Amino acid sequence: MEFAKPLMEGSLDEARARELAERMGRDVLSNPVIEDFRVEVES
Amino acid sequence: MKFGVIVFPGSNCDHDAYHVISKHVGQPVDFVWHRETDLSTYDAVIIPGGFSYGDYLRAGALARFSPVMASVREFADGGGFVLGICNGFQILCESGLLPGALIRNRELHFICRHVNVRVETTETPFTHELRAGSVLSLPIAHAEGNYVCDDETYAELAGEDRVVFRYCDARGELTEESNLNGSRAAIAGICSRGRNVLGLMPHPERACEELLGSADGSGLFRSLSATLAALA
Repeated sequence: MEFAKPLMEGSLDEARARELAERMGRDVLSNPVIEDFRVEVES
Repeated sequence: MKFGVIVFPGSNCDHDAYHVISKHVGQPVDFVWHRETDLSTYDAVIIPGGFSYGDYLRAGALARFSPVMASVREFADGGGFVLGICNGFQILCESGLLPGALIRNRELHFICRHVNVRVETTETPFTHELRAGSVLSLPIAHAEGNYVCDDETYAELAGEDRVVFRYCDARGELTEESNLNGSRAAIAGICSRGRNVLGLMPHPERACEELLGSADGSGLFRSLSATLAALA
């Protein structure tokens, strides 16, 4: 299991932060052939 | 006929590929830095082995975002020939140009040695001068060469005759022991549906001179060269 903790600055609400993090997980960080990912948002 | 060898930060088999094309195939070849985007002057491109971007995230995962990879995709979609060796195979899978993925070797060790691979199909631009069922001695050097894919993908690869090489013993038998990295169905190399993109974990470019322990890799480059000559 691997963790990535991106820090998002600015006036993002939780939904927008989650959307960005999920996009990062889907398009950049994970390989869907072999990996799954889960997003948790802390403010 | 002109070849391009793509170079990423961390590539380390680029000079081997360049050497084989220039000295053994005897054709013009350029190094292509990963920031380049124009592949229009090339007939074939080689994505060499190494540790692109230090294998950060996953082997090949960051290289797929290099500017040249969009051009490689376009080149392949247009029928251009793309050969991905070792890290190049990993990059092609991460980029979606080939299906499946390469994960840590079964025993989790980096393996560096000669292995036997069986030629599964000669119906590719890269293998048509080889003999189906023949056994090649080629070196491997990887930690993430364990090929995985889902059942549907495997059925597609097998059904479309797209498994190009399998790990085997010296007699050509598929055994558990000869499948050193634990790849599904002993897969060592596959090609795309259009058959113009080949990825394999063994290093044919390091096996083109007897001095290096084997010249069995030369047939692959001979095949590709003959394909390009026929198209010229």
